[in-house]
Amino acid sequence: MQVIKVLIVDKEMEFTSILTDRLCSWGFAATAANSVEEALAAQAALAPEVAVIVLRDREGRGLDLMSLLQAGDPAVQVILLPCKGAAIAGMRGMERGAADCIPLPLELGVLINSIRKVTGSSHSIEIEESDP
Amino acid sequence: MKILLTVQENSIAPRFDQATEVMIAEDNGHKGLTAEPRTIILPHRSAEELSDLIVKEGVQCVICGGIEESFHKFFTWKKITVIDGVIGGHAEALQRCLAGELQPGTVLSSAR
Repeated sequence: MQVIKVLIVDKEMEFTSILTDRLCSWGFAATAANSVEEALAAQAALAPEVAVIVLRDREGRGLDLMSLLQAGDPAVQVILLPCKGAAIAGMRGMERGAADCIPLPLELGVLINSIRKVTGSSHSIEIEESDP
Repeated sequence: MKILLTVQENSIAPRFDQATEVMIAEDNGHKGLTAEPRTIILPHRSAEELSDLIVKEGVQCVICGGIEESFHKFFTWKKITVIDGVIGGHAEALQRCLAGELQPGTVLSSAR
């Protein structure tokens, strides 16, 4: 089974850390990046199939990063996570070629389904988490 | 009944206002959970936004660690049960809650 590589980009280390841990526990190869530089370096080193970018402002500065990642690898699928107040930036991102846009707070199951959808993956993921 | 647990790693988050991850489970009376619990990750620490989420989701029971009195009062006013001061693993906390055995201030065996 091929493991899907996911790059998670946000300036908030706590958010990327939790999300990376949870996605890894669901069988993804998730990597966190907390700056544009880190994101570009991770893309060059790991060639992720999916990039998850948090949009924290109205201007949607994360959209510039989306363009850079798409220029580095046109096949990369970008999923945007707009915070409250950044919904318009998320819509602009969809117009510019983002594969999906999921508003925060993030329901983990929704993101997992979106990653599966944009990568065309239908395999079942082994649950390692000890949820009751 | 819809139950929300504040989570930090695999335990109940020690402080409500510092939680950035929650789990929502739905209990169907004696038949147990209606589905797998949902995990929700918040963009940042905010008791207000977490409180909004709890109200919007129609949560009826909150399981957490320490919580500010104002939020406790607000939830009580909204007829939401608060089981606070819980220490230990979130999975055990949920099981004990479903069994009707979880009280405020409980220190679970997973914490020892």
